[in-house]
Amino acid sequence: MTDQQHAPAGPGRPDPGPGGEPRAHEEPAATGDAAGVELPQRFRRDRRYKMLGGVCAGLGRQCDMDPVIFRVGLAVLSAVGGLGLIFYGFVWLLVPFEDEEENEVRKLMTGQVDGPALAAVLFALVGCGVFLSLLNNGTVLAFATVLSLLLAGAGYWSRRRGAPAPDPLAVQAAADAPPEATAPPVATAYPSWWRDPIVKDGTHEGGTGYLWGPSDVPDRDVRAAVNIAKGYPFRPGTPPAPRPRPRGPRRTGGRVFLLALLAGGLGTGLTWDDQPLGTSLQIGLSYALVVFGLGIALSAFAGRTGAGSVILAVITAALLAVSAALPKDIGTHWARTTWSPASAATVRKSYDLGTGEGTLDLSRIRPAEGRTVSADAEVGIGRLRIVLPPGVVARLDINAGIGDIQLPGDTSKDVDVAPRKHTRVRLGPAAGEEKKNAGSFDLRLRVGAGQVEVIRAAS
Amino acid sequence: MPRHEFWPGRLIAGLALATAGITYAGDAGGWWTTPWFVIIPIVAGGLCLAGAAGVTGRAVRRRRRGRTPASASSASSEPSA
Repeated sequence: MTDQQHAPAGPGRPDPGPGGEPRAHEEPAATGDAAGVELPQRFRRDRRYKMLGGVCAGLGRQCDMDPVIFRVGLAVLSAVGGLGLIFYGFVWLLVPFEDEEENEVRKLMTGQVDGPALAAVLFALVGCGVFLSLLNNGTVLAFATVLSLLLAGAGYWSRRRGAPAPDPLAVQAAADAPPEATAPPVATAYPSWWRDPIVKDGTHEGGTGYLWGPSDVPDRDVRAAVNIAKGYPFRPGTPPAPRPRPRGPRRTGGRVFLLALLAGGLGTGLTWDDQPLGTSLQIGLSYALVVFGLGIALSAFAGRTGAGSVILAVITAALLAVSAALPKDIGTHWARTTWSPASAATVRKSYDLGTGEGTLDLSRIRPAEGRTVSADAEVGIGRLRIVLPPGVVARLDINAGIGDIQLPGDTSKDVDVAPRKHTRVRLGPAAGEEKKNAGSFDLRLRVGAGQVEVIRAAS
Repeated sequence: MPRHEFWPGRLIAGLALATAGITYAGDAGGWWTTPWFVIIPIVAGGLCLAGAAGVTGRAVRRRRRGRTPASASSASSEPSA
C-alpha cells in the first residue's frame, strides 16, 4: 500500500528530510538491493541530508521524523540555555557518519584535525559556557527541560509508531498538488493511494486520510524519485520486527529484585519502631543485599542475572555503608520535648534527644552568686532551643555538625547552613544589668544536623 | 528452571555480595561490630575477583569446546558442580 512519503522541509528547500526517503520494503524487487532496508538500528549522522553536521538529519532518520523539527527544537534549546549546542556538539563529536567507522573525537586524537571536528568542539564548548551562565535561571532551565522532553517524546513516539510524524507542510503540499502530475516514474511498481477509490469526505479506501501523518502519501520529491531509480536503501514504513533474542537461560533479575525489595522492606519495617534510624535501615539493606547476592550466585547454575542486578546490588551496598555510618542516636521518630528544670539544683548534667525538637528552658533558673550551672544538651537531627533567663552571663560552646546556629540578636531569617560549625560565645547581660560576681551558665550544645537556637526570655 | 553451564563469575560476585550483607546484618543484630568502610573492599574485591573468574571460565569453556567440537553441545549443557 505504501511506497513513499512526502516531507519537503520547506518551500524551495532541497532537503527532503528523512520522510523524503521513499519506503519500499514491501516491494523489495523494485529497489534492487533491498538488503539495506531496515530502520536504522544504530544512530548515525546522515551525510546526504545534512545542513551542518548531519546530526538533525540523522536524528530525523532514526526517529522517522522531519529533521526540521529537531533543527528548530535544538535551535530554541541552544538559545535558551545552551543545551541544544551541548547536545549537538557532543553528538557531532561522538557519533560517526553512517558510512564511517571512526567518530570525530577519534579523528582528532589521531591527528586528523579538520574543520568539522573543530566546529563540533566549538559547539560543545560554547554550549557549556551558555549553559553554565544560565544555570541559576530556573525558568529557563525548566523550559529547556520540558522542550527536550517533548522532543525526545515526539521522536520516540514517531519511531514506535513506525509512520512519519505529522508534517503540515507535507500534508498541505500533498493536498494541493495533483498527484498524477508529479508521480515518480517508478511509482507504477507500487500500489498507491491514488489508485484507491476516493470517497466523498476526502479520504480514500485502503489508507488513512490526509491529515495527521498519512503513512502512504506519495512523495513527489524529485530527488527521492531519483533515489528510487538508483536503488538506495530505503526505510520501511513499519518498524522492523524486533531482533530475535539470543536464546539463553531465562532472566531472573526481575524476580531477584522483587525478592530483595520484599526482604529489605520487611527488615526495615519490622525494626522501625524499636531501633535507631541507622540500624533499622542497615538491617533492611543488608537483607536486601543478601538476597541480591544469593540470586546472583544462584544464576551461576540456573537462570540469568545481568549487569542490572549487579548495579542494583552495588547501589544497595553503598546505601548500606551510608546507613552504617549514620550516628546511632538518630531515631526514627520526630519528638518534641521541653525540659524546663525549676531550679539550679534540678538541672541535669545532660539532655539528649535523637530526632526532633528539644527545648531546654532555663528561664526560671537564677544561678546563685558566684555559682555556675553547667549542662550538656544534644540533639541528633532537628532543633535545639535554649531559653536563657534575662541578665545572666552564659558561656556557650556550640557544635553543629551540619546546620545553623542562631544567637540572640540574629533574625530568624538569618539562616546560614554550613558543615562543622563550632562557636564559643559568651553572652553577657544587657548593659547596666551586669552585676559583680553574678552566677552564670556554662552550656555545651551539640546538634548533629539541624539548628541550635539560643534565645533570651523576656524579663 | 533448567540448569545451564557453570558461570563462576556470577557465583563469586553473588557470594561476595551476600557476605557483605551478612556482615552488616550481624553488625545490626549486635553479634559483632563492623565499621562502615568494610563494605568497600568486600564488594570491590569480590566484583574484581568475579570478573577475573568470569573471563577465565569463558576462556576455559571456549578452549574445551575448541578441542572437542563434536561434544560442544553436550559440554555446554552439562550441569557443573
